[in-house]
Amino acid sequence: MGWGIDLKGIVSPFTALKYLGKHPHTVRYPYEKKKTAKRYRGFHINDLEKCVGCGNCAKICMNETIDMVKVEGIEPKTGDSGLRPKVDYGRCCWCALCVDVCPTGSLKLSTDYVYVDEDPNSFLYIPGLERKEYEKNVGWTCETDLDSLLDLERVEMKIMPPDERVKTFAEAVYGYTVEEAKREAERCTGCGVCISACPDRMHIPDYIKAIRDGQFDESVRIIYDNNPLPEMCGKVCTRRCEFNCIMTHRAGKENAIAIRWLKRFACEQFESYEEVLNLQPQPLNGKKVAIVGGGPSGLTVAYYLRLKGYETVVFEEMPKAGGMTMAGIPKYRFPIPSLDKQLNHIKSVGVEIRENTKVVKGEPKSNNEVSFEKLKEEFDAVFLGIGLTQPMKLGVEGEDLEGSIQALPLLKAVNFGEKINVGQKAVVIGGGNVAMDCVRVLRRFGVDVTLSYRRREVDMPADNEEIHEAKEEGVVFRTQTIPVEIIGDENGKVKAIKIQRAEMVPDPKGGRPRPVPIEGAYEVWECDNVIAAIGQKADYSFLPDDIVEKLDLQWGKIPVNERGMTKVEGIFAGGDAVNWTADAISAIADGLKAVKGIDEYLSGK
Amino acid sequence: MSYLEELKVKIENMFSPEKCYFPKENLLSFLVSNSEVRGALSYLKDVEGFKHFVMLSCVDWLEEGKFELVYIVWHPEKKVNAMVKTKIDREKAEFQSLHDMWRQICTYEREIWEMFGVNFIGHPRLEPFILEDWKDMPPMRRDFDTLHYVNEHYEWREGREESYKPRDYIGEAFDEWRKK
Repeated sequence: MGWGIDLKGIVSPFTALKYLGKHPHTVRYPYEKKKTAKRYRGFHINDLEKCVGCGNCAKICMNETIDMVKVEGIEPKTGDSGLRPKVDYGRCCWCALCVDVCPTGSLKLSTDYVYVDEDPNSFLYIPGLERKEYEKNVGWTCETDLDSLLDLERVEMKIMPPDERVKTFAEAVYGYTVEEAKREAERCTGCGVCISACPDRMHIPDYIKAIRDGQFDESVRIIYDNNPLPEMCGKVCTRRCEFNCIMTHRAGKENAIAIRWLKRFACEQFESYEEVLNLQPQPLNGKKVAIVGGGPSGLTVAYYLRLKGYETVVFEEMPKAGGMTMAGIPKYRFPIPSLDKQLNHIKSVGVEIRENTKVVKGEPKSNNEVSFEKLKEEFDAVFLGIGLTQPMKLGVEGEDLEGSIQALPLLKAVNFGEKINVGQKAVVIGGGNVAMDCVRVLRRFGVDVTLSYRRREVDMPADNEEIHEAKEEGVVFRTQTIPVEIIGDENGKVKAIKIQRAEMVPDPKGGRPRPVPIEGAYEVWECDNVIAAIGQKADYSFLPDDIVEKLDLQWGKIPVNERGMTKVEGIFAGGDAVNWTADAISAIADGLKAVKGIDEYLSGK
Repeated sequence: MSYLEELKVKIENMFSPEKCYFPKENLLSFLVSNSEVRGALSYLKDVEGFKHFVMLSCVDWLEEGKFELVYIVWHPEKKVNAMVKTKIDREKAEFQSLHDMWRQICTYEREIWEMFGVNFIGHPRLEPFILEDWKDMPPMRRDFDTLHYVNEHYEWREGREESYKPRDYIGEAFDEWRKK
């Protein structure tokens, strides 16, 4: 050992100084908590506003962790069951399947996972209502479609190409094959939220499940439980169920479960329904019910009352029953054999349908007429399913000219195979489904059609699909145009229509924008026909005046009570002349209400 | 041609893989017969340099009657993964243990033995791992009825009496609500 200066020994401790301003690798004080992983699966959080209570989360959970419960302040409404999930943390294993099947994306897991309490029952809570503090730290979510376990794409429906469609009245929609239908049915999670939108409360998840399992006869039996015209509904229903399908939240309206097409598919699997349903109507109980009008509501009443043992007779003015589904809906949407199949089934249980028979007031003038007073006398109850048969008028000058017609008589003539008299160019006025039917029928006669509507296209009450298909078929849409005058030539025939363009003015009260005519913005369109399709009203002229008075009509509609009875005892009513939705499925729902009402009324309950 | 694409050609020449494809950009996946698994993994490890063993997993193909074993390995330099899959019979679920190639395979195999009931021949320590006193069917098999098991083994907590099925609730309660 030498006595030299150990320079290294003196300096090296100071080398530690170079770490002086650096971030230490040791635990820091005060203690900093490490952040949880971004996609951690901790406690549930739920957006109660967004949640529709479909119960998919409760259904998929393998541990029975989730209950669907009522929550104060949340009422059931169309498209929302009003229930919300409640989670039991004694059972949750944080697999997050509940999040992955949530159709709205409202259910998520937070990154919080620590909760300590002596009371085990406090581990039970409704996410979104209690423990809102978790909402700050969102962990596992299912925001992209890729994460979702739901099958979000609808099986495409094949439809005739537009240039073929305009040449024929053959059915345009081809329908699903067995394989396609099963594949589409498999997408349904069976939550039942769609039922909230159906006026008739059809058993939608049940018949879709039967299709999925390949039990098509069972499916038809379920459908016939509360709908005697399912093939009609399967083709032309306004399908509010689909617009409220939970799939729409993530995938849009066009990817809702094709409930309508599936119903159609099930019904089309059979040539006739007698064998499939194998119904045994109750023996006649001696009570008789007269039904005025053979539309959907009337046929529903006749069918189900006959099954209950009542003798039912339907009086139909036209040569064929079916009401507007026969007279109004064009045959490329709802072919006659399809209607016949259902009418035959209704007749097969013993319903009598007297076609070409008009109900009138006073004494009947011919064999084809029967007086209302007599019906009232002979039958124990009368049901009015008269529908809306009187087309509304435009109320502009020149409406009486030759060539100015109404949509409804035109459609009726076409549907019953009568000759129609239209020119080369036509202007149709209106934006509802009748207007769409009218323009599309005219296109099939090779007519150059322009559609005039007072509001914008988004405001049209017609079905989007119909609007789209009409456009494909070459109908010219002129929105925000208001007819002012129909101009005739020297022979009293329509020559042109004068319209005024309009602008949309927002409603200060928050309602939908109103069209206001622009001063001086007139246009004259040459045409051979002007066809008004702006709505229909009911025709009460067949009823005796005292009864019309007693019915106490409100805005042209017949008020009824919860049993479907009008203010006149023994007279029930339903269908378009009663409800404001005025579609076939609402009419069927009204019919079923009246069936219950008439049954209770006649059996003295 | 990227490294993985070249590797794909080599694998196709050397073994007889089915469904050799790229599920992700940096991942090559292929299915080989049982006898080729050790060879494929050995080639990937010793020749290509997939030094790191990522994981071993099992998929239950109940309808086919097969279990699928999935070996995933990682190449630290090329930064790519390879996935070697093989299918074994579900009825007679057994496979050779590969614990000598990477030691951590031991643990994975033990877990799969416990959860799926696959017997790994030559494994030094096949004994219960997570489950205690488990006498039932291995729980990760798809025919294991979790719901049934849960209802049999766990009590219902108080305060869970109220519970509705949305489908039934809509049927009944909605008409009440409509009347309002």
